[in-house]
Amino acid sequence: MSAVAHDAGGPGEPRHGVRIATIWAVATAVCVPLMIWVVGPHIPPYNGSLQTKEQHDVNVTLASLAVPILLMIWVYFGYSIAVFRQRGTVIVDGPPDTGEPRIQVLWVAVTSVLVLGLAIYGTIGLLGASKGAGGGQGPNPLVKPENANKILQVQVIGQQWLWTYRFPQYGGVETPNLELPVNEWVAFNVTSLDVIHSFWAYELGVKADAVPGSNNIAYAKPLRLESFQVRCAELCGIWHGHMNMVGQVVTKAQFASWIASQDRKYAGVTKYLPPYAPYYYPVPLRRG
Amino acid sequence: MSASVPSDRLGQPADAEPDEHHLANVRIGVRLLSSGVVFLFMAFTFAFWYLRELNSNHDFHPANVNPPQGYGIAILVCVIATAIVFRRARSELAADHEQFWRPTAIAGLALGCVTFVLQIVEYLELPFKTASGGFASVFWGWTVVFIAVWLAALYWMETMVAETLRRVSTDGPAVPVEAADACLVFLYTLAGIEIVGYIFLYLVK
Amino acid sequence: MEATSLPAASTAPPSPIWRELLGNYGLPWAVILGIVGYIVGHWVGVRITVDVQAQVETDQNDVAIFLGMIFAIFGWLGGLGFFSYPISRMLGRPPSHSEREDHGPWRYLRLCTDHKVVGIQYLVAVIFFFFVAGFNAMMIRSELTSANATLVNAGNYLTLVGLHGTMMLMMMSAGVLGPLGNYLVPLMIGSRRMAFPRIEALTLWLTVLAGFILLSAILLGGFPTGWTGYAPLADQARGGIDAYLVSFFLIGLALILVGTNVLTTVITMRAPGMTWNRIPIFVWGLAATSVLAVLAAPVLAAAIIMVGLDRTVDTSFFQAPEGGSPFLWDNLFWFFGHPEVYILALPGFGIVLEILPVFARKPLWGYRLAVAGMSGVALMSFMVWQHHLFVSGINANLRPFYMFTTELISIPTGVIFLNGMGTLWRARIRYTVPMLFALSFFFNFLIGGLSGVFLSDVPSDVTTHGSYFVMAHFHYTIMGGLVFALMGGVYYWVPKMTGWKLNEALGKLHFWTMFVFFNLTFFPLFAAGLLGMPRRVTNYNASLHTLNVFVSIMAFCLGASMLIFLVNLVWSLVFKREPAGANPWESKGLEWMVPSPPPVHNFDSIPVIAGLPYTYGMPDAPAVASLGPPRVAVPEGGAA
Repeated sequence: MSAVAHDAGGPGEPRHGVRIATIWAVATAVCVPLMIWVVGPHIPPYNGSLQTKEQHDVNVTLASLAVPILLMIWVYFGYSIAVFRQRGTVIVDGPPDTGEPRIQVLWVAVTSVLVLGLAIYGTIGLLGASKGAGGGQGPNPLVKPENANKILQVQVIGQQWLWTYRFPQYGGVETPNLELPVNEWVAFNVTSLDVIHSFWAYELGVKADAVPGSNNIAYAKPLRLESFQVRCAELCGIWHGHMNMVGQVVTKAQFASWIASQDRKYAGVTKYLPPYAPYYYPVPLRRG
Repeated sequence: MSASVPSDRLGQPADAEPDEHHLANVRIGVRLLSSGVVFLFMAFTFAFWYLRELNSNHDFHPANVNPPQGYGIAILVCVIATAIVFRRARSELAADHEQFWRPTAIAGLALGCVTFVLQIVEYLELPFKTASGGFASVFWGWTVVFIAVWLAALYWMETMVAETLRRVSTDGPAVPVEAADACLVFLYTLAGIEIVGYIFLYLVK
Repeated sequence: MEATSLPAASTAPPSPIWRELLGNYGLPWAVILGIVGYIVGHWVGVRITVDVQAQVETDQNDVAIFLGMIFAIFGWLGGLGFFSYPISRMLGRPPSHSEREDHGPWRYLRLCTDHKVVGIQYLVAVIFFFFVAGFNAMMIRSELTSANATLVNAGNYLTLVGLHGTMMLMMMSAGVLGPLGNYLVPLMIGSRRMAFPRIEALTLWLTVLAGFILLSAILLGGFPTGWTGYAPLADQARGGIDAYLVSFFLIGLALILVGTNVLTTVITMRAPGMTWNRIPIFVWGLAATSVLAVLAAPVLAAAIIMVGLDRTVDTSFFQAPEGGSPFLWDNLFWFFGHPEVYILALPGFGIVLEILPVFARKPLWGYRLAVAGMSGVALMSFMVWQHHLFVSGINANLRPFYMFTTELISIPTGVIFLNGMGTLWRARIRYTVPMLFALSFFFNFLIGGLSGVFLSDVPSDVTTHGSYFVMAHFHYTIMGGLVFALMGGVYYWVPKMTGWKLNEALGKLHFWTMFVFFNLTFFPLFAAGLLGMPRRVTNYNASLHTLNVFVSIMAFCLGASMLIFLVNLVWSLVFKREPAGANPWESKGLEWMVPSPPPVHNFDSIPVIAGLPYTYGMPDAPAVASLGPPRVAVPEGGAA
């Protein structure tokens, strides 16, 4: 009572596969260069630091790889939806294909190669020049810049709901402001005093969770004299969205005078602070 | 057109759900639930090893936190004994010796109850409370969850004993052997978890 | 030869409403005893903690709240009559197999062991809580129309965010397994019931209770952690988080039980002739989901117990100064959390691959590959969880490994696209509403999946973690994937469940508005995330103001499109009631060979299965099953 025999598809059948492949090839040839050279440069993050450059390159590469995949699916489905339709009122079945092992194997093989390539690419990016791509690497980073101990150390202390910064190489002064010298590596040692926060310096491409009782190290090398926004990227309570401040990348000389001024300004407080440590244990959080 | 299959009061034909399905369901179901329980304790296992490794603020295992070894052994022995005794009971049931199945099953249930009581007494006698560092937290968490799951095993054994005590007809076994088998699977799982728990909480610490 | 007849319709006078509501176990008593239980439990809790400083000093006694909720759970279950079976078993009565299956509309408010009733109860519950959570989303988007000023205060905003996320996740975890799984699995495998009918009803009523307990968080001051419940913030939070913890625990329990039930049913209760390679792909999807539910949910339960202990008896699982670690929550939660999102996604795959052949009039292309893909996804979902923790300070050596496994999981996930493409090749597509939703799944999930590739790449993740990019990713995969698939499944199977058609024109309007506004709402959020907007904030950069206003307007339109769905349901099922017949879609599935709605016993006699239900284009293929002689209702006194 239901559908009648399928449409066998005779010699007049257009070569759908060739058509689809052609449309896809043309679309790819147009869109991929568009992505790489027109859209790509606008994909954040921008060129504030070595790390954002790495992230930007990865984003553009992934987007350029995504475009042909997107197009393939869109073209195929679009073509199928437009062309392979029921015509007329009587419901007709299609051909009884249940599968073609060669195509299945080919698909799995191609996707596997793509995935493997992406994993290798991502690992290289992670372990390469950006020294961790700005992400927090925990207390024992896998990749560090040369002379990691001698570069500028900034301890980022997150607490509800404020960021403060401590400079162990400058007497352990703690300040709520942040300026960094341009073209110099800096090691952020991120920790928290209460709940989990996440230090996100947007233009520097740095993100590291601030976890109480632990030190999370992220490396960055700012490249431009600009201000950068600091936000909290892990929900930490009511004023999570207000845990923002603005930092500044300045010249080396300006940094030196700035840190000296902070030292003077907070000298009265510094002597009461606990000694500098990778993390601190204030009174345990009151429960409930 | 008519059918001659007799039907029950709901009008369902008699070939609906023969007993074999129910027992097969119980057999599979208990293995799935036991796997879930294993994963539940895997979480506590992870907590134990992870916190021990991190030893945050050197406060994972303060000096005065020592679980009483006597209770530990006693509970371990009781858990294993419950499983062994119940296994014995199951063998009697399978061999159609209902007169031995009954007291052995009751003995298994009794041992299970003794386990429960022992754990409660241990809690009352414990030299450390919950707010005593990471190890104490895991100790309390693990044992509380274990005893809650143990209660489920006790419930299961009790229903089989009660069904045996209440039965009036003498045809066939008191309870299906497969049901006892399934309960045993659960008991073995819990015994395994208890052994692991004993090693972590009383030996490794 | 005696003619048998189906039981005659009851000729007793209908009971008055108050007796139907209060004279039996059922939802009214569940609510009453639940509330009474809470009051009693709370009182007991206050009594036993009268000397405990930590609880007395705060204005919310967590011990009392937890005890109250535990008593409430018992009251709720008792009011529904769930204790009569365990008590009768403890008194030694043998297990009963014949269920008390009522007839009449009131059984929908009661413990009913007919899997079809449970399926419909689940569907109503899921739709109800979906709309509640959706309403929360509308309020969130209202707040976000302004970069600074607050419509709701900060605490309430976070509660809205948490309620939206948690309720959606809780409900959608069981969103397919519950309604469609319970209803359809027996019908699709040729059985009369699920393996454990009482447990099936239990999972439903636990789910409903969990939804109400979660909503009660509002009365307890809300909770600030979002659905991810990060400790130690969870330790610090006020009493509303206890509601979150208890409700999530109940859902975890329900997941374990429903997974056990579905998987056992599929293993043991298939009709004769249904070998493993004749199981419909939808059932395979649910089987894979069930494995995840049984194994991952216990880890969540354990983590929740740990937070509960921290909050009540001062343990220090997550307190770094006292020997615990916040990383413990990170790891335990996400060990559950990642399989959880596949619990959400896999049923969507199953629905889409089940619907596609019917409206493409072609067999499912690559059935075995689809099964392998779903199984691969299920297996690998346990090996990727640390990709949620790339910048959290985990051991840096682990990051390349988890980047690799996360990218690897896209291989079995991608297989479903090949299945779709193969099924559509030279097909004869009919654009019914279910087909539109199934096709849109591929569009949405592609974007969601590709954005996942970005997130799996650690350098890219450094910018996008914790931002609106992640939000867009999971809304595309879960809403664009699962919810669209669920809508397709609803439009496809509701005519079978109710016997009435859903209006096609309204359905198409619903589809197009939902599809267009969904994409317009969530696609810009990728940009918002890349431009630096963190999640769960009310404050954002002024430069993102226009984008947020646009997204909010689109979100309101998306909400409106859901109302069209509601209108369609009410109009078609309450007013218009156009009969659908047994097989309105001309499908070859087994469930379409029985009347709509199916009789209580599903099949007159257990069918014998002949093959897969995708024999389109094979005019000589037999029907998927032979059903045996039908039983005909014979009027009283009539001869055969």
